[in-house]
Amino acid sequence: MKTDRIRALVIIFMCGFLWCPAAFAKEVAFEAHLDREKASLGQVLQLELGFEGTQDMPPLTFPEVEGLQISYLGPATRMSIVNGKVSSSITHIYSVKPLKEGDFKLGPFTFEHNGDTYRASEINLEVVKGSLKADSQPAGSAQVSSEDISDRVFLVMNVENNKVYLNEATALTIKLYVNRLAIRDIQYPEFSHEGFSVGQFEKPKQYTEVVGGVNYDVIEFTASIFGMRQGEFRLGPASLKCNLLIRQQQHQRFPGGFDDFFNSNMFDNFLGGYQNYPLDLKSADIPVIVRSLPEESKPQNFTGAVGDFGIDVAVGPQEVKVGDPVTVKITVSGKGNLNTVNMPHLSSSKGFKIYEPQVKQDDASKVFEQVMIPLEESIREIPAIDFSFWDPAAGKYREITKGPFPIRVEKPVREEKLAIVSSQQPQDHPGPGDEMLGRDIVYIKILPGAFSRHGRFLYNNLFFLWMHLVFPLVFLVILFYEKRKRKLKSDPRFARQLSAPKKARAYLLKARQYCSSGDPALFYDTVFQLLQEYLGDKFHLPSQGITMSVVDDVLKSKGTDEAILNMLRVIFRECDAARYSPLASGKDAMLDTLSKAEAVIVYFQKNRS
Amino acid sequence: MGFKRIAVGVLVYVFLCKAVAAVVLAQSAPEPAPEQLFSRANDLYRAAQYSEAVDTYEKIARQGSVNGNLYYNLGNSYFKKGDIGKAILNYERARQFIPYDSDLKANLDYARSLVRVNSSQYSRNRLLLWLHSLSDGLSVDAVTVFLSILFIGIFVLLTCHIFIPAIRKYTVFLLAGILIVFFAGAFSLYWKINYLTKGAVVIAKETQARFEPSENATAYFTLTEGNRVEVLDTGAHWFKIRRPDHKIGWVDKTVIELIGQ
Repeated sequence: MKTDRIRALVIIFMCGFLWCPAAFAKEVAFEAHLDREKASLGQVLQLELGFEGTQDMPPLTFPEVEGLQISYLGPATRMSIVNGKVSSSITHIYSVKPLKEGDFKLGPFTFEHNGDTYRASEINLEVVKGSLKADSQPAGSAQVSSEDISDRVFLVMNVENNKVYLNEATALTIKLYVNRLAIRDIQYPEFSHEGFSVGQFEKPKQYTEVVGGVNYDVIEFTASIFGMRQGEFRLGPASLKCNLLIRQQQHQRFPGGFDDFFNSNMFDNFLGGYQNYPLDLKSADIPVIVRSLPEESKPQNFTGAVGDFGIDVAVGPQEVKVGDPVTVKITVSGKGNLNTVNMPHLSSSKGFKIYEPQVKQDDASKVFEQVMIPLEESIREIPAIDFSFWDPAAGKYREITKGPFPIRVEKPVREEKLAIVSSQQPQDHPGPGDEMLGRDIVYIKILPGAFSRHGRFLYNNLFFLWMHLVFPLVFLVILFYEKRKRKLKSDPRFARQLSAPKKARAYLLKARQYCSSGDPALFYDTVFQLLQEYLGDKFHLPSQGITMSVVDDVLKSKGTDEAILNMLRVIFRECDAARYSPLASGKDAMLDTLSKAEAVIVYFQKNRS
Repeated sequence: MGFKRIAVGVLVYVFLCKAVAAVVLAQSAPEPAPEQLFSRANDLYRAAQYSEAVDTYEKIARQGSVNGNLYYNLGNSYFKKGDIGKAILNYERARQFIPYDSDLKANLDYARSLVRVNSSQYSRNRLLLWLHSLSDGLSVDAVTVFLSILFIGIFVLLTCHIFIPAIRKYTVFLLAGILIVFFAGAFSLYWKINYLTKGAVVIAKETQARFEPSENATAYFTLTEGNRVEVLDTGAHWFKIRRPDHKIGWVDKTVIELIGQ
């Protein structure tokens, strides 16, 4: 008997060990559990292979164990909240039916999935003949009723506002109150909600609250609801499933001093001396009245939005061609029931092609992306956008208008059809209206045209380049000529100086002829005129008034060479003498006078000053 | 007397040289005229003998006779042979003579569309690009003649200023206008000459420009056939080139060909 007890303790110890997470792979824990370690022949046991942290895990194909009939019963999934932490799990349940007596070993369990390996320790099972009275019921299981603990664990449901307008969102709260009890495997609450639409529960909040002087741990579930039709409704009752963890009453089985040690809390905890007791908690139901929206002053474009909203509109691009899309992005945000917010109203859609808007919604806003295609160049703006809603807090309808939004619409670009017919890439299915043309190169040139020498261009043709010098040169000549002409007109001194040598040459020629013909009178007369004209022009003096005395005065002041002055004096004297006795002068004398006159002129031509 | 003898001797010498040259030329086969070769090459092209057509067209170019039609047909022949890089090269050469030709534009665009040609311009300055675009449809010679006319126009205007008093009050404005157009045209001509003398086209299917003129140098960037580059320097076997995105590297001389070559 004592041996049996020790064996039972060992089995309990082993089972307790198995309760601990046997193996970890990533965040997923795998554990195996048999509902008892000792069974009689024919008794059906329950084997659970549980994966904590995931629900995506297929059942394990169980190897055959001689003497045991193992069948797969199915999976059980669970989402639980422990200390505010939401976790999910899946448990694959198998039935184990012993076919013969003896000691059996189940496991160790190894399971591979998605490249990860999960392991759990083996489980021992002892099968005995006959019936096991003590094992017919789980050891130490307690009989617990909801009524016994209704003041220590209960469920309360509330709505923020139990008189709401149609489509008005209101918050529904379901609270689980727990006082000094171990509750685990808490599932999301369920409740009857006829006439209401219910959103998803938010992440539960956990806090403590004092009710009637008693401190409770509270887990609060919140969801948004709104009435879909008017009338009086009852929400709930809400129900919530969870497990109550109760301590096993083992002191009856292990009396005595040795057993007292094992009966201590510490040892109970270590061995996993608790058992789950399923609870199905229910709350009271609550009445809610859903009122219709007033017809008075209802805007024409009201589509059922209820809340307190604002809208933001963005238009882009703002410069398009006819036929190009313009996207109008309307963001409705604020407090209220976004589910009933429809696309705000466009004041006009004339001149646009309009598609169904794309809608995106999150907790705080709803975005409508409306594509509008301008069909005319004359369009200058995206029309104004109106949005109206019922504001329950203010108790009235409100309207918001945004826009119009200026845009610039240009002529469409008409792409030129290719006029080149393909010879290499024929199209398979050219349509009659929209002929598909291929591309190829245009044919060669038939005529050669004029050839030029390779690398010869006008820019490197020296003749062509030098030719351009002619034009500035011609211009300079013209400029010079014109300037000189103007100076001759405007400056008589310059004109006389310029004409002096020419006149002198003419007179010298004439004098030479008279000398040759032996006519001293005309010769000396010509020489005299020559000197008068030349010196008059040269020094800008009246020609008729030129005498030796005048010449002396002027030329001396200009620093004329004394020899030249002497020559001039001689010439003037000879001319005077010849006028009065021309026959006295011979040809040699005339030539001598002529050479002197030439020398004088040459001198003055060389010495311009 | 001595001068007469020398003159007679020179005349006899020239006559004899000409006679000998005529005999030698008569014995060797006469070179066909470029027009004849052009016609023959066209026949080969029509017969889809593109390689032979290429040889014949290039023979004309080797003789030193070139024009836009020759390079255009040569480009077409290379295109039909499947050598897109050389086709683009010859279309670019044709552009120096007949840039306004719509057939040439169409073929060049099509050839470029078949290869990965970068469309970057060497200059990013909008004013420069606009100035360049003004003369895009003009050949080098056309721009030169245009500039020549402007140059002459300047002196004609100055001469008129001297002789026609009525025009004098407009002279400054007219002269300023002509000078602006003249310098814009001069810039355009400079660009065209630069492109003609330094522009090159990649004729290899794909090649890599290196940091140094050496086979073992590190590859810097890749060039594909038909891409235009600017030759900055010439080594024994290497060209220093600049891509339109201003990356500079060295390539083997065999992988690119100068447009003005």
